[in-house]
Amino acid sequence: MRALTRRWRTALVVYAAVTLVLTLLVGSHLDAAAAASSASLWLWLGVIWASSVALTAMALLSTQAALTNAMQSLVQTFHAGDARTRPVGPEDSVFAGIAGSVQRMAEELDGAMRSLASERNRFEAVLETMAPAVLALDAGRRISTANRSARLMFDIPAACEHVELVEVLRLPAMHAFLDEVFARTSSETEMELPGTQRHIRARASRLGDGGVVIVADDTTEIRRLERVRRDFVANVSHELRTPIAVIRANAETLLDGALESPQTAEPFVTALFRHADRLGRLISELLDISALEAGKRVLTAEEFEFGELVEDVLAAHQQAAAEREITLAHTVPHDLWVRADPKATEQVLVNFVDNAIKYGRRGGHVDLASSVEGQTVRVEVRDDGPGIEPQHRARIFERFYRVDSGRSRDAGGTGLGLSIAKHLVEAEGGTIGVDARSPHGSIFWFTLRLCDASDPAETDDEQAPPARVFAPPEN
Amino acid sequence: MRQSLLLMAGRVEEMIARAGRAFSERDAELARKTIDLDGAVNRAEIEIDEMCMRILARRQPMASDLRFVTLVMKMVTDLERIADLAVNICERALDLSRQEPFVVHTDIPKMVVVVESMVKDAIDALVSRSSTKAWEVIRRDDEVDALYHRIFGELLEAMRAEPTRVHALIHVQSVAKWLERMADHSTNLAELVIFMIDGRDVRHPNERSPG
Repeated sequence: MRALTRRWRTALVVYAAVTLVLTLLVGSHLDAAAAASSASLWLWLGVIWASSVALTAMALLSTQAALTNAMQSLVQTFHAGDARTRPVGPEDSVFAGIAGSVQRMAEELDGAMRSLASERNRFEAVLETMAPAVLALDAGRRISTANRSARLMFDIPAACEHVELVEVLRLPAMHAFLDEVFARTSSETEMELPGTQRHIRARASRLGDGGVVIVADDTTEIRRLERVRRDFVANVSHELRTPIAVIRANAETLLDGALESPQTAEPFVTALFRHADRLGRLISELLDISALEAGKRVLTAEEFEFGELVEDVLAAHQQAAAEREITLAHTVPHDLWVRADPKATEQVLVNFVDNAIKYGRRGGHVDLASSVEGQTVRVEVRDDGPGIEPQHRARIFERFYRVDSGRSRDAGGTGLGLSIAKHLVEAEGGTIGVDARSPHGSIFWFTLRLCDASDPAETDDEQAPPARVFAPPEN
Repeated sequence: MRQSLLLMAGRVEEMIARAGRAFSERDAELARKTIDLDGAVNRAEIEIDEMCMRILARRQPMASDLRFVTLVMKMVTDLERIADLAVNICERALDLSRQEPFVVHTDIPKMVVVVESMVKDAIDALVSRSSTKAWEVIRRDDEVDALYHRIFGELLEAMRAEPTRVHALIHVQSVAKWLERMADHSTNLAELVIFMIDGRDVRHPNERSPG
């Protein structure tokens, strides 16, 4: 009896009491009518009443057990995560209504769960593809989320959830920043990532659960561009103002009387000419760069003998090299055919050779060499001068960038030559750069497209002809 | 204790990279800033040492816990020595920055990268409990030694060829030597990590008495 619910137990007691009263009434009626073997009659009536109560109790028990089983199997199905499985039992059974309600509730729950999961997936996809790095930490500074950008930026492994940040990222600036964020509500900072030399700007806010979320952007490129723009404006005004000031001062001196004596006037007029010439070159190079950047200068692709161009350029620089006792030599094969704009290629080569002579060691060597890599030719101009420090090597192709401003200006440079060379080479689909030469010196290089007809095997550096030396002319 | 050790290692890694750059680029400001970081490393050494002493006295750790505490005490000493060598490099950078423009040996930045990665990987090996990674650090020490010998030979030749540059070249030689010492300290770190993970002492295998 204890297995039945209280309500059903009460119903069974009521049923037993009612049937007992009915049995007693029927018994007394029959007892009075028959008056014989009354003991046997009462015995039979008792057995019938007891059997009826027992049968009713059993029926109630089995109904309740069936309902319990059905509910249990329904709950187990939901627990297994499948709300679509229909509950067991006939539709007209007593528990069909209850089971139906449970089923509807489960389906609603399942729908809500699915929509939450899809929302979460969408959120994770957005987070993963975001350019800024997002790093969320709990109150114990364990990682709860790190998107792809964050993992790349801070070199964090993919399986980093619930790992303490310090185990995977030991950047002192970041931990100092976090100390500040945990002490306040939000904060912002800029820091440098060691090794990569990249700059980041990080913003952090406290979360409701005591954790922190950090959003970081890579600002290296923005900083570089800002610096280039700032330097360009400062440099262009400086470069224009210097010759103008000299021209004005010299003209004033001439007007003040120096014009009267040709001997006194000559150095002033020479300086006037030199600075006017430099101003003219500067303006024409500025226009050149602007035309290249705007894509207005059209480069033609012609096939020509590169070896011949090298010889011409070196011959034209022989006098300048002799003045600094520099030996010019090259190992470029004469029949190396390339496909490029001849004028642009010459301009680049002239710039490299000119620089190598100006900044190379007095009495040193300037060598030109070529090597074929697939369908491109790498042209190298090597000097044995003092070399260029690594921090300058990265910026030397910027407009007006000078490694040693005083010296390069004295040498007559406008500060635009290498920048123009870079534009020209890149416009032809090539690459340009500078490497350090061991033990000292620089290697300026650029690549050209090999002519289709040219046989790479014949133009390889290893099979190059012996170096041809342009000896300084004897005095 | 583990957190403090990892943070200290992070500072030392940063100091190596900055010192290397300050020297190669003769950047006086960066050198000064890097020297300033040494104070935090020294403080961390003292704090971690005190923490270890407290744990030894109060908790009397056994087995792997004892191994970890002794390991941390030795590791902080090596890390602090590496930071001191980084300070030495910065001082040479300051001296060079006051002289004529000069391109330091091209292999010095390469050496800095290898040494920095050795310290980083030794600490990563501790974090991930990977003795394989620690063994890789020990093997990389030969790479640094080879670089040092090459730089030394080339500097010697350069000194013979250009005696006027001897002052600067001696600075480069000292820096190469200190980087080589840093690699030795990183090897010590890796050996300690192997001892902690495998319980095997791999220092000076030839000096060990049999059994």
